[in-house]
Amino acid sequence: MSPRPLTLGTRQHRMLMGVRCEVSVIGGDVHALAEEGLRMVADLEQLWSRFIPSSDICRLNRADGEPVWVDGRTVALIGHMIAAHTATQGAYNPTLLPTLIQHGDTRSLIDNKTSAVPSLAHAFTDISGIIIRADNIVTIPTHMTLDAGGLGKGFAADLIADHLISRGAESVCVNLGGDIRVARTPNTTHAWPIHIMSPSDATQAVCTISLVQGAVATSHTAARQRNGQGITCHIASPNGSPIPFVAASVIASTGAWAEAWTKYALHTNDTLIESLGLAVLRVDALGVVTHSETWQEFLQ
Amino acid sequence: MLNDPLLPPPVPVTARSSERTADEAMPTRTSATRRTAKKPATAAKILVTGLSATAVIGMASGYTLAGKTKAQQINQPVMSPVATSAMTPQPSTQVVTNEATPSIVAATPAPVIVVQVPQATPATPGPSNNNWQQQQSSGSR
Repeated sequence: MSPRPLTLGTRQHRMLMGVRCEVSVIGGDVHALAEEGLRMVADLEQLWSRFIPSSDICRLNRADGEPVWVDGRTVALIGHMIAAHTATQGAYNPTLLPTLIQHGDTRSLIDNKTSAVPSLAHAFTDISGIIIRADNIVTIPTHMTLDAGGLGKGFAADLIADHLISRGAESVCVNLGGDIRVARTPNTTHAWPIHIMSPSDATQAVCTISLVQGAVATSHTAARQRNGQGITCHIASPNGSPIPFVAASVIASTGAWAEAWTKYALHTNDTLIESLGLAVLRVDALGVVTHSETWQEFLQ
Repeated sequence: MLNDPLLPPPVPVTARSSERTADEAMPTRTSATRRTAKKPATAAKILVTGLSATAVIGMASGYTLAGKTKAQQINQPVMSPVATSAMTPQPSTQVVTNEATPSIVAATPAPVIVVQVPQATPATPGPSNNNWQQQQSSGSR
């Protein structure tokens, strides 16, 4: 069966999760599907936001070591957090919220919502104390807090993209503040051009890649330093050492994994990411761009 | 006049005195109304007894049903307000809580699970030529 050309599509966007969220759909009832995708973003924000007291994440953070029932999607998110923390050897750490708040990262960048953690909360280097039961009861250790952060956005993009394909879309691109997931049906080969933006100049692209299926995520150290708001750096080194790179982008199969590996890429330039077959691009403080050989395959 | 045969026989003094006492208690009643007044009183007693019994039975039934409903609610899952889109299948049995409820959890502890997460694999590249679909990847813009 030869791939058929795709021309009809739509893109809709909304400010959610503190960032600009775009859902682009080709095939199927494009307008309804795009709107459905944005509604899903809003739903997941209600579950995972650290600025919404009724969210699963906030309830877990207030539980002080007691078990809490959470939504099944939150269970899946926490599973991804644990897997990412293990795979990246602690470079991705979902328990850094107290550190961010100590540095003044208490306010949403798009509204007046504030975030707080218990006074004794602190970052953990070992998150094996998180207990997940089959009935969606989750227990996190006393003084531990979780923050969905970028991995939450990447995982949300994964859930939404897969859902829209299952609902009849032929190709979709879900972009949640720069964490992008592309999905398609097997009989389409449509590719999405994606500009990797410079960490120092948001109007300039470092390069442009093209994705048929998969995800790309970018992390840069000054992401929460927008328009004079936020903090200087929201990324903490697991061992307290300086972070050698200011930005990193990773191309992987899913948004959650791409986002997690960007944290690893910011901290080291070893070849672990490349050994997994993933593509990585790094930018250092002087603006020097380096990338893996696998990255070359995606350049447009 | 006392021995007139056309007159009814004299009523015993004791009966008269008791009847008089009753008449004094309700001086406005006639003998005719006195006869019929006993039936509404009896009916009222029956009615009150019936209503009381009905109320007792009704309340008992109500409390029983309410107790059964509450017990069922405890054993059934309550979805969070945003769980309606059901992207991820929910387990068939879930313990209900908005906050920590150790007593419920301790009663039926479900097994600890490890969430299975697919490993990261390479993405798929391909040529693109549609400008309207251009995207930008940056750190949380």
